Order: sequence, then structure tokens, then C-alpha cells
Amino acid sequence: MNKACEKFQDRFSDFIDRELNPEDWRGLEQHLEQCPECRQELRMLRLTTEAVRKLPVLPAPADFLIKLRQKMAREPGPVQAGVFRQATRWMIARPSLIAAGFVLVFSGAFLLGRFNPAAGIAMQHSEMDPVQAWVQPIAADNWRLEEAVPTKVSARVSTVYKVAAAPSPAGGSNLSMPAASSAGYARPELAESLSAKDEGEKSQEAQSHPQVFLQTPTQFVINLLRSDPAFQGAKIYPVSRGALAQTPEFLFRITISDQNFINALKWLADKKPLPGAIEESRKAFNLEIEKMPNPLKPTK
Amino acid sequence: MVMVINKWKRRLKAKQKIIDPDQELIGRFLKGDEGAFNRLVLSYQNRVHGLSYRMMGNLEEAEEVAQEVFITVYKSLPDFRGDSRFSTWLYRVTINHCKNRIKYLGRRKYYQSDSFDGPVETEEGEMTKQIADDNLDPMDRLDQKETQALVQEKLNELDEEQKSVILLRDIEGMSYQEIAEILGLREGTVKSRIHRARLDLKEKLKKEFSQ
Repeated sequence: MNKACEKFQDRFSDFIDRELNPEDWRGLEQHLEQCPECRQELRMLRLTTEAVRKLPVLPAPADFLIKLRQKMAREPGPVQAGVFRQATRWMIARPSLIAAGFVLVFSGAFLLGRFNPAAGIAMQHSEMDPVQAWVQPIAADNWRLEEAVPTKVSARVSTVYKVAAAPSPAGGSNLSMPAASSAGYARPELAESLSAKDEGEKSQEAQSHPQVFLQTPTQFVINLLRSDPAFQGAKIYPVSRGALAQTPEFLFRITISDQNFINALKWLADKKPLPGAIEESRKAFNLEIEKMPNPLKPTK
Repeated sequence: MVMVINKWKRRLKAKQKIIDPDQELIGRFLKGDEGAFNRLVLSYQNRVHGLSYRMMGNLEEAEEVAQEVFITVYKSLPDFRGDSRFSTWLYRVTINHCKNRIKYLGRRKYYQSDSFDGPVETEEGEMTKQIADDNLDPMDRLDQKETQALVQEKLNELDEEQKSVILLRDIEGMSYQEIAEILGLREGTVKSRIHRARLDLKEKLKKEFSQ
């Protein structure tokens, strides 16, 4: 191979990629006409390039996203979402703001402590029953209990005694004194709403156990789906004892048997957090999962 | 006067950030929309997986690497400044992960194993590695489907730098400029590296066929 050929052969890749300027292109073509060696060389290089170009691109497996999300859930150390990271960074950049926050919280606590006599007393005499401390012995006609103490007391719901005071011998003021609860602090706003006591009690209970109450198997499965980031953006349709979840690739039918749902309620009553990924949920609650190709997926 | 205005216009234009079709999804993800991240994954998973398959030469490894790539993207998107397109950045992350993985696996040991003797999956399903035995010019056999496995095997024998340029050019169909941006090289370097890689690959194939 002579020097001239070498110079031309260095440009073969540019020639194949059509990156040669017209002048060089013409020069090369003229040389190729005269030089069979270079023609053969170019042909082989072209075949090689073609062979690579013809390699098929293997698409990712159809459940790639779901597997990825499962892996992210298992990842040691939190895979932090963008927002959380930005929020932390924002906070770190503003230490004065955190300081101000502390001042606010503490001063608030201090003020509350000062103006809430029940709280103060409950704290000072913690061994004393806070109710006893405020509900004085009923002195003949001066005191009357307007509300009866409910017989069934939920551990969570504060029981509020409303004590109406007739002019007392000591102070002589007409006070409506809200008094303490089992937690040891007063909830004056509850005393106001005692007329609607029954409903109040119910909704309080529902608030403190949002997962246990008012839940059906369908709703439970939907909650599980919502807690899995892989199903964010999936369309969810309720069905009997479960739900359908439609992702771009698949349609999942997820159901739970009655017995397993009862077991799940026990789990929730223990206040264990929901498993993030649906695969974990399946193991924890014996969910039945059927995976089908998404019938609405557009075909090429 | 007009010339001065035009000059400023040009400067402003140059300063403007690159228009990125993924900008909207990235913005939504950074505001906490996990669904936007899912969409990014769905729109790039095939390209990332395809490239890592050709880099790694093995399906299992390819999937593993592709997942690692997206986990990295998830973690580092808040730091992504938008100096380049998202896709450019994503290819860079993919190539780097593949290179690291190949180093980690200990290139020689891994590729000398029998991972290429087994059936090789292609679009048409599985096929076994075999070379047609006929009287064609040896290099003409490169046209045939069966030689895909062989081409992949010879690609694996190239070093990672050569392999990445040749794949970005011939499989992803990128311009020299885009490849330069992804790999952080000058365009001239990319050009000569592509040529070098093709020559090496050609020699390896030629040797295989003339045996």
C-alpha cells in the first residue's frame, strides 16, 4: 500500500458517514476508480459498519418500570425525591429561618402554658387526677353536672366534663369551666361542641384510625396501589374486592379474599405502615394479582 | 444601529438555554410528580437498554445497568443544570455506567467465559451462534443474520472507548458533534476514534472468517 492510498483510506469512515466535503469526495472517487486495493478495503469497512448498523436494538423488558420501582424501594438509604432534597437544601441555606421557627414554637408553647391553667396544674401535679383537681365536690345546689359522663370511653377520645358553675361562694362568677381530659390538658373547643357529642365522638374516632374505619376491601386495595410509586399515573378502577390498575403496558387485576382482608385489618390496627411496592403488599396480604397486557395499548 | 441590535439579538440567542423536549417532564418531577419520572423512564428505557445491551453483550447485565442508570438519574436530576439536553446527559450516564460495570466485571475474565456460546436473543427470538459454511466471499457473510452474535462478540473485544463511539455512531445514529458532547471529547478525536474502531473491528472479523 503506497502513501497515497494510506491518505485516502484514512478518510474512508468520513466517506461512509458522508462527512466528506465535496472536493475530497471527488478526489476519493477518482482514486477508487483506479485502485482495486482501496476498493476492496472500502468494501470491507463498509460491510463491517453495515453489520453493526444491522444489529437489532433490544427493547427493555415490558415490566422494566415496575422492576425499577421495586429496586428503588429496596435501595439501601433513601432514594430521595427531588422535592425533598431541594427543600433540605433550601432550609440549610437559611439557618435564620430555622432559628425563627424554633423561637416561634417555644414561645407558643410558653404562652399556651401560661394561659391554660389546666395544663399547668396537670403538669405540676402529675400524680393527681386532673379531673379531680378541677371538679370540686358538689356543694348542694351550687353545682350541677350538666352532662353525664359517658359510660363507654374510648382510649383515644378525650372525655370532656362540662361543669356549669352557679355563683360560687368563693368567686361568685358565672363560669363555664371546661376541664381536663385523660391526656391532661384542656380542650375548650370540645366543650362547646358537646351538644353534638355523639357525632363528635364518632368522627374523632375515625380520624385517629383513618385506616381501620370506613374501609372496604376495594378501598384497601386502592390505598395499596396508591402507596406504590410505580403505579403513580396508573388509571385505577374499583372492582369487587379489589381494583384494576392500568399502566401503559399492562392491566393488573388485584383482589383480596375476605379472610385475607380481615387479616389485613389486624395489620392496620397494629398501625404498621403500608408496604410501598405492590409486590411487597402481595406477600404481606396474600393479594391475588393477575397481569395482562394493556388492552388499550396502541398497536404499531 | 440595526447592526448593533442584530448583534445583541444574536448574543441573546446564544445565551438562551438549549430547548429540551423533556424540560417539562423534568420540571414536573422536580416539583414532586413521580408520574413524570415514570414517563421519562418509559420514553427512554428502550434506548438505554438497547445501548447497554450492545455495550455489555449480555441481557442480564444490560437490564441491571439500565436500572442503575435510571436510579442515578432519579438521584441526580436535581443537580442537572440543563447545560446539555437531557438525552445527551442520559447517554453519558449510560456509557459511564457500562464502562464502570465492564471494569468491575474484569473485562477479560467476563468475556472469556462462555456467555456467548449459548443461544443469543434477537428480535426474531432465540438463535444459536453458527457461521454459515459456503463458498461466499468471507466478508459477504456479514450480511447474514447468524453473524450478529459474532459481530457482538468481536465488538466486546474492542476496548470500551472504541466500543462506545462505534455504538453511538452506528446504532444510535448520532452525529460526530453529539458523540463529542456525550463523551466530552473534541469532534476530531471522535472522528479518528470511530475510524480506528471500525478498522479494528474489520480486522477481527476478517481474521475470524479467514480461519
